[in-house]
Amino acid sequence: MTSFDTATAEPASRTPSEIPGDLAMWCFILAELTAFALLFVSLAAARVLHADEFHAGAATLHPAMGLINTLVLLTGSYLVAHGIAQAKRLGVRACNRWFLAGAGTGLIYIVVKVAEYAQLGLAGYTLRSSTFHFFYFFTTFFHLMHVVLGMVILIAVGRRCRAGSYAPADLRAPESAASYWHMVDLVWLVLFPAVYILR
Amino acid sequence: MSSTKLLAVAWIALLALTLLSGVAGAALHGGWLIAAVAVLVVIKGQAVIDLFMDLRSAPALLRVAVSVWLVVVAVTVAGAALA
Repeated sequence: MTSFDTATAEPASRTPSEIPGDLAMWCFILAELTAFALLFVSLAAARVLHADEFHAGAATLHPAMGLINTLVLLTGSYLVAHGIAQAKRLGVRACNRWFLAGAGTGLIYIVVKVAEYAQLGLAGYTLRSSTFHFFYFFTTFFHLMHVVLGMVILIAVGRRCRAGSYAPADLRAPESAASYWHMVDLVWLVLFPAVYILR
Repeated sequence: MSSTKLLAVAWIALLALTLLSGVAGAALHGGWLIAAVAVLVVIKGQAVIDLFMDLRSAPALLRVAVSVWLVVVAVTVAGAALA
């Protein structure tokens, strides 16, 4: 593979019938969304059956930390989407630093989430404390693992873009990585009110 | 509007709507809070789907599938809170 030269790059764009990224990645994303949908249905059923525990349990959380993490993930999604826009204009190498910045917001998310877990742990709350805490720890940790995987994908694809491993106008890999990262953000947009705001 | 400007506007709007949902969580209670939050979740999620995921120009089936997922989970979570 030859190195990338922005001066000779053709602007990259998709036809209306094309998906952003690989079909395989979208099958994976749809499977992930299905798994999270089952979790949300379980969470909703548990809320109906144990309304008092959910009301009391939600009061033990700090909505400000959830709010901060929502702002952080939305910013990460913006940075990654901006990276794709830049790659369409200048070629795939242009998205590397934006992907790294997006992964950086994932790191902030992890720090805030771990601090929250530590705070709850020191206060004596665990998976066994109540039905609410079981679902809170389980769903948010499951989501946290997806944030970590999203960061790994962004960093790996960003490095390959910088190394010139893809043709300048071939956006399938970076668009696949970006789509996964946006899926993680989309899930959090529902999870945040489900556990922090709706009491 | 260029795509980069559109993304920036969408990002600022999403941050504003998120702060609004935080304020709603503190100021509203009961059914009004649940309805407001559910509407905000769907608006924000659809913006992520259309503008960040860029599914506006993708095959309609994919865009509809992800949008339906968003509405179903938002309504499920809100419905359970209302029950």
